[in-house]
Amino acid sequence: MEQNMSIDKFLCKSAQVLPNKVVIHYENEMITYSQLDKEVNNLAQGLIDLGLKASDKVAVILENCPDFVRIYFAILRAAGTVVPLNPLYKEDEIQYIINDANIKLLVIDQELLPKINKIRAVISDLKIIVIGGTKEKNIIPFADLLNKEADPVEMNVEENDLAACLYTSGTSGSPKGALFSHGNLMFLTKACITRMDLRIEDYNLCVIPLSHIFSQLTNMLMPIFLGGNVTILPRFIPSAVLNEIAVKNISFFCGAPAMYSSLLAVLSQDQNYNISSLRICISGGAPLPLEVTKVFMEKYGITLTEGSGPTEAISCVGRPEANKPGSVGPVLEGVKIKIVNENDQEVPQGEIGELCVQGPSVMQGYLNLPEATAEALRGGWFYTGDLVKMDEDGYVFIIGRKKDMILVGGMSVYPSEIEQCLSYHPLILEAAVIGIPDKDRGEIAKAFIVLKPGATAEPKEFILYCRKHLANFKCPRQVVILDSLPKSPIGKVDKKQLG
Amino acid sequence: MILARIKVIIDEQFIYEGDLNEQTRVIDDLGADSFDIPAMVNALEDEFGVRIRDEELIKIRTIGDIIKTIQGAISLGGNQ
Repeated sequence: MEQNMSIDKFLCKSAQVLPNKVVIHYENEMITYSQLDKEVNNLAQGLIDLGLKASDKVAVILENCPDFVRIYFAILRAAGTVVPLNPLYKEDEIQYIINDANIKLLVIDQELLPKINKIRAVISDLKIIVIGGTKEKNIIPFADLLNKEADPVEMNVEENDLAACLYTSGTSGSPKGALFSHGNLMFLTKACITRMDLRIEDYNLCVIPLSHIFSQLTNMLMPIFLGGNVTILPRFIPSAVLNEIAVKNISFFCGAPAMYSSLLAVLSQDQNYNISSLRICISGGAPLPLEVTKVFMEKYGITLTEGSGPTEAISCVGRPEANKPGSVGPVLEGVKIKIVNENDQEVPQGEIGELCVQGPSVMQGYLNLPEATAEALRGGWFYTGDLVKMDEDGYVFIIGRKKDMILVGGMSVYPSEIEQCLSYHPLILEAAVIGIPDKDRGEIAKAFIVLKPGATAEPKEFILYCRKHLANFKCPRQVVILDSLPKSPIGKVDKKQLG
Repeated sequence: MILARIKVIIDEQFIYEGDLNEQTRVIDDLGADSFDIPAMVNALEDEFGVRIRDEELIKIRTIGDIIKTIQGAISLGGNQ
């Protein structure tokens, strides 16, 4: 087993070779590799001083900002495990994860503090590190850790040690923590650099949330491994993205399909944006409409390349130099895939089956869920739930999904999670949720609700109820109240009749 | 006056609880996602005849922020 295999070594190496090169642009801030390395070191020592031990999990709830990068690498340098949470999560979701992952250290922006008031009262030993000027009791200012000079922190990290616990929506209703080792992330970083053809001279633009593995990989680990640079935007605002591309000569951009559609909508109204610097554009999280690919190619000469994966097992990424529209590309070098039928037998080339993945890109398992891990990783293969076919050149095409899942703006949402939330509403007898097409987001959730006898309510009430408990992107945007739900002969809700 | 005009736009686009006021948060209270915000801003720009710059747009968190941004844009002759 290799020693000192921390992902953090990427940063140390780039800081040695390119100390004065700017690694991050954010608003008016420019951070060099040596500065980032030093700040990461100070933070790592600060975390250790607060009691962090090897493999302890640290939750990070931040919007896209340089502090996300700083704390991510600091946790790894201190041999901890990063648990990045989507800042759109609501208090219930955050509390569930903090309990599930036994989090004792939480890093959060002061603006998000109101979201964790209840959690602070319940989990008394939770140490909270806050970014911003808040001076509250029992709060540790991030700046205190950042600015306290420390000697170099050297922890022994092995390839199989955990680096990240990434929560995904769960088919069973609650989020699941997918565990990734340093070896997993190291492999994915190198394999994706090769496949996506990212180069040291590329300028990355980070817009997708850094809480998502797609963004961590493409906007942080890959450029820092190479010694490249990234401009971080806190939010996706199409005109701001187009402006940054023009001003910073952005050459590498990753986004969800809905983002590319939004960019096209703005470009069609304003011809003045110059996006000719874009060299590589990767789309992930949901199927990319062929029409969007076609317009980018025909009008702007830009190839949109797709990649696929659930978080748990990134497997295929398109080849920018040999792209096939509609395909998520061939399997990454070093990863194995197979396509199987209902009987777990491999299907002949060209036939549709479920995509299964094996290799170093596959997660180690789900935190605290041995049964769900065994179910997902049967016989050493991760069963993705994606229904695919492969062409004669090994390019994979996603045809549909086996799992009941909705892709909202590139984010996976399981109807069961929304149905579980609705089931707690005192007026609801039963509820079923499906995905329906949406021009901006690809899909949105639509709920069908049956009220308890004698109850009356407006659909709006249930949207507001979900919004109190679930991240906005998971909440149904449409609600229909029915007298009953269509059922199969065995009493199961027949969602096909709701579509 | 500005709040009343903003309310008309917000009511068309969002479902929310209680009264709309300066403390209302765009994401947490209105339920906005990154695809709602550009549509909301386009409608506000049309309503007030102003242009809201991206740097200002990124900072907007509450209805109060929107009011200040629009007031600033109006005082600059329509271009924030």
